Amino acid sequence: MSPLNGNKENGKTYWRSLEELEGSADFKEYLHREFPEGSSEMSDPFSRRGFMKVMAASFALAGGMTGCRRPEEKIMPYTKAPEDIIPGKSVYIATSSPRSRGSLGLMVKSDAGRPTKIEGLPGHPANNGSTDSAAQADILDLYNPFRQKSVKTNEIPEADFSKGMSPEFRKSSQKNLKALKAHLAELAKKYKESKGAGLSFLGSPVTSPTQLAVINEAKKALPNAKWHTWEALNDDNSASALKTYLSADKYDNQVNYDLTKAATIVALDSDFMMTERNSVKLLQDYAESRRIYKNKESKKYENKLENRFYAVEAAFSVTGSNADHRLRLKSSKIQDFAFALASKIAAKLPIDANLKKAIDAYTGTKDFGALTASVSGNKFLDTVAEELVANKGKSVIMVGEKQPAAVHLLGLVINTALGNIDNTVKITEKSAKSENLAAESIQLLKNDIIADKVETLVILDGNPVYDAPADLKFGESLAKAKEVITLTLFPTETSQASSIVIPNNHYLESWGDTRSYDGTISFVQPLIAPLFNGMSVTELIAAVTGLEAKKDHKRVQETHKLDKASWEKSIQSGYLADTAYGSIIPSSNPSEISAVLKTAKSVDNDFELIFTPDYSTIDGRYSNNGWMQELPDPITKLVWDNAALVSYKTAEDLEVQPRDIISISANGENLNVPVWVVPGMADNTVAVTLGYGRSELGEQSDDREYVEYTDRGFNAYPLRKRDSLSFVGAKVTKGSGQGDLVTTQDHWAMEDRDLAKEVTLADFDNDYEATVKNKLEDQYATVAPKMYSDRKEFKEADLQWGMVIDLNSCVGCGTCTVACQAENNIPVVGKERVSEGREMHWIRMDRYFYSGKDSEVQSWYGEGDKFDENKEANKVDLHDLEVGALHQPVPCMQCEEAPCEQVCPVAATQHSPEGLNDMVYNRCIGTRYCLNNCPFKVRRFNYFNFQEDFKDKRFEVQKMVHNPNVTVRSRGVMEKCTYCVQRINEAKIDAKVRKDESIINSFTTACAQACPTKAITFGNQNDETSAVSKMQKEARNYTLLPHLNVRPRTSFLGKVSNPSEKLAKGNS
Amino acid sequence: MKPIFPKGIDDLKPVIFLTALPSVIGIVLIFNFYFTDAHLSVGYKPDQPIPFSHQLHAGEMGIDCRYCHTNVEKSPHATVPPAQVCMNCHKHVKKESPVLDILRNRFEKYIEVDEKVGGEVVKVKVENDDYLKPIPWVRIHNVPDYAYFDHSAHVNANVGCVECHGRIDQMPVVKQEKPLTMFWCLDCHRNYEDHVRPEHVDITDMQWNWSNEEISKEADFKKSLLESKKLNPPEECSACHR
Repeated sequence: MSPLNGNKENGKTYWRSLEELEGSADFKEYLHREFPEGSSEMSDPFSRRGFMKVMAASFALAGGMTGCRRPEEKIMPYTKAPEDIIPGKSVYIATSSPRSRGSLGLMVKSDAGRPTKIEGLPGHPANNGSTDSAAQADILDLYNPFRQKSVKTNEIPEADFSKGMSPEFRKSSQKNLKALKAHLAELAKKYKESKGAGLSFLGSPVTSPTQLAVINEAKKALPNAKWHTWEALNDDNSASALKTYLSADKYDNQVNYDLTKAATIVALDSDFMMTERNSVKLLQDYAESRRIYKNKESKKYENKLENRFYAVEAAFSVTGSNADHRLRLKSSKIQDFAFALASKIAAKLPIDANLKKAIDAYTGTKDFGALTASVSGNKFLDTVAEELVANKGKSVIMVGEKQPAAVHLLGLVINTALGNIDNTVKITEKSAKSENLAAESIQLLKNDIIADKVETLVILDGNPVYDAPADLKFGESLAKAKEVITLTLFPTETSQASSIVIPNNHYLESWGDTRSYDGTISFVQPLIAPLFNGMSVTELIAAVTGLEAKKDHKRVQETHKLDKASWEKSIQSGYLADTAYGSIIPSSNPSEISAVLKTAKSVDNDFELIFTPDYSTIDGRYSNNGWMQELPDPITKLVWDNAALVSYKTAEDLEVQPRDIISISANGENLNVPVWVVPGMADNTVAVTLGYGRSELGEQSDDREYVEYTDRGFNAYPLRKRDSLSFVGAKVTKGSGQGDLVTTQDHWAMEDRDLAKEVTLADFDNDYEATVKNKLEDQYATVAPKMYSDRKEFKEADLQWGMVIDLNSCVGCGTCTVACQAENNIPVVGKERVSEGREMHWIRMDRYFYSGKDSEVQSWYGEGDKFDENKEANKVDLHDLEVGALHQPVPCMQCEEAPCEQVCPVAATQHSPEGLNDMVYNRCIGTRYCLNNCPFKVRRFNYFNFQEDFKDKRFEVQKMVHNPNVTVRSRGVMEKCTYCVQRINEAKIDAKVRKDESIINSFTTACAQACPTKAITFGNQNDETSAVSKMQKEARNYTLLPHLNVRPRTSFLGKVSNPSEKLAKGNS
Repeated sequence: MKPIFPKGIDDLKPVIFLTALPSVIGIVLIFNFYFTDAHLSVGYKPDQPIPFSHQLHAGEMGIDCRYCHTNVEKSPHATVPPAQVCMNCHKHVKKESPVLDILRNRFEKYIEVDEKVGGEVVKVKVENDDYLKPIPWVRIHNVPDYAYFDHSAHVNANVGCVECHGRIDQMPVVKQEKPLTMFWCLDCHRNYEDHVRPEHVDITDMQWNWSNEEISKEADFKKSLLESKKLNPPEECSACHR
């Protein structure tokens, strides 16, 4: 039975995958099995018989009574105890993660001297207490056994790490560092004479004032040295547009958007929720501006969603999936759209005559009617323009970094015309400094190397051999430089090509400072001494240029000229308040702008290839991070891989099925890669994500098969050239064979039930009772008898835990999943195991595509008509799906009448009087009955002893990432979300010990704490004043599968979308 | 084929039949009862690297438990003291005692070792590998890793040290006195009024019991404790197992 047959009251269909939509046999097979086929069998060569043979030997050895004596355990106290450290109590330290694309303020938990969990720093202007998934995963990189572990040069081999952190390793790596420092001193002496001629540096844009100061000092000492910057995901386009717009002489400006005040948001190819600069802040503001709260009883709004979000994009991004209206357009056509929009707005608002002429000259008689077969592009355009004008001063056009400078310039022109500048759009000084455009800068460096002007190249950061524009052939030219010194956290393609490799310090090991997106100065403080003998960026610059050697700690202090008291205060708070850049009011020169706009040419590509940042590896920097790799992509749900993404129609045209290999040729290069069908992509477009196909990833694990850090996916950089960093015309043909892609989109599916729910603002506003009744309440809810009376113990205990997840705020980024993994010691299982359905995530992110029954966007909001699949108009045309997506995080529901508890033969899962569905790992014998009986499929089973890993000395260091307050589970044990019971207990005990009841209300679960949009609310539902009981009284509150009468403690709030009436059915 | 068992065994069949099951059950029961922590761990009395006597320090000299176990009121761990704490006194007391060699050694950055130089033995100063290294005390009261016991929660509920550790002040070498099994934990959680002291009594007081107080007070205290519901010792799994 296809889910389309279901009685969808709002006329929309929701589906997880095309297989489900088609009702394919594969999907049904999946659905009816507890786990995918084969997952319960041991697929390893190590058979059961072999196991008994091996065990027989150890049974014999263990014979006698020795097995009964417990092992001796040692207590190792400090000899000299550090002040203020209480063993068993965590310490929280403020720091920040320096990033050129928007630094975050962090608060890191440290247990017995080792950082164990990263949280956002409350009050920090960039992220105010939340993080994104990458920040959560950074802690794993700190302890990553594949890090660059010691200095390595052509002469000195890397220190031997095969026995782990042994004294021999420490000694030889110290020796290596000493030898290196002697060599650097020689270099410094040499370059002092030549005043730096022959010395070049390459780094990423600098956000650290201290590093800038060091660079300036070095420039003074060695005026002939050259400084270059490169970053694969750079902001060249917006920076050059701003330079033109402000008639500036430097690329020293950036645009910050303020979404809190915006009534109309238009994103042109901008994935501002995930991959654009400063995404956490934008996401927070976006969610805040769309917050809606209507009390069930008083029927009054306390908060009301008051904006509308339009997205125009080519690939299907997380941002686009959350839009009220989304128009899919080829990347190159977005420029046409921007000009057309500018022209419409110029017709209504006063605008400089020169500019108007330039815009109209481009637009000419372009018709957007035929942009897609279904949505009337003209209609969409008119509606957007009209609404922007109506909301002038509080609207915003955001242009994504993937679009060329002309579109950015148009964005600024439109925003200026609408009076948005300094309201919703703020132009400030740039927080990530670079003297030149990234693509220019690396070209200059390459020219220098070819002209033999570079004797020593110092690469401070990044991996240019892997990610520099392909036409530069940077890797090949690197061989021409006499000496290449690379500072790196991980072994990379670049470090492989260097003569000297130096381990970089992780930011949790170093002192420093950084400017966040708005210029606020934040401090980086170490939580642990560097694990490996390396250097920091400033140390290396100082050493090579012969500056006075100083501790980074001292340098930072000197840069900010703080006295002792205020220094201590500011590193405690983590940032300096009121150091944000002021907003610049531009006085633009229209003739200069129009001159640039006139040079813009409309591009016509038959087929287009777009390069997008990957949600897991970003640009390749997280390739080595198991948590990021195993986090399913928010849209495709692929793990450990990238794929070529195409729309359904394009796949049909190319005659390919998902996983078929296609051949993409662009820029004279060819790539044979597996394809994945993503509804909602622009037709005749193929999107590839960057950051996979790494060839140099450090040590491979040979004796363990379950965690794989191998060269996954394919490398798309060879197709990416200097003049086509974001998209390019391409030719795509069907190749032969199939790729091996693993997706979780059908895992844990609950077929044909309305789980993620959605209403429109108009319906909710006009007749909310009917809306709630028809669209949010389950159709079976009233039919099911009330089987149980309330439990006595729930009435007695003061604390009753509950959780509410607001689907209106959730955008599907997956931060909660990684945060949970970090907090609860959840193992990484590897791609193969995920394909068998053995992923361990306790909170999963379900993604439901939705589509209307006819092709007009949003037409499904028709009134009253029941869905009839036999009606011709209701047939879904898979060729032309206009889709959106709903994202739903699913943790354990903590059912009050939990079905899992009733079937456990050993009482390993039981209910606590506070409403928690407790899981006792030590009692569990692994029958898996509980998972079979769980209607929400939230339980996870340990098929392997994933901790076996750490017995290998080389991987032992990663053990330090574990949360000491959570049991590390073993093979054969069932596990699941427990609402972070370790945090609950800690708070309860703290409240008693410190006699402060407010502690009970001031903690939350790991997922809720990390969530950038605060979509998850957790707390005591017995307390009338708590946030969670307030959310439970929200009109949109519903529980999953209410007819089962299991009474989940986790409930959801339905999503509210705000589609425009003008784009609704009947108005086309 | 030659039979494995002699023929006579056939006569024993009823005997085997009747005794096999009871003896299996008996063995299981014996294992179940005697090979548990309640029997195997009680009395555990390992040798420590330094023969520290609680009888001397806590008993005779009357040093408060919290002088060394400083965090017992604040943290899940009572804290085995840093060697520094020992040195507070032993810098001045028993400076030469050979049993304290291990302790003093932790604070020597350099040590002198004998080395042969040209047939002659001379003292050479070398770096001490043990400098600031922890002293490896042997854990006696050991609950499993999946049980999260919290000292501060118990101490702040006025459970005396003696309830779980016994008369430490009378032990020259510390041994485990209570079984520390889940049954034993739950027993106390269920009948907590018998194990909690009134607020005016110090938790570290080893000798105190109700016979020191007026007879009527015991019943009053227990009654008011139960009625006030101030203490709710948890009995759910997640209280200790996370």
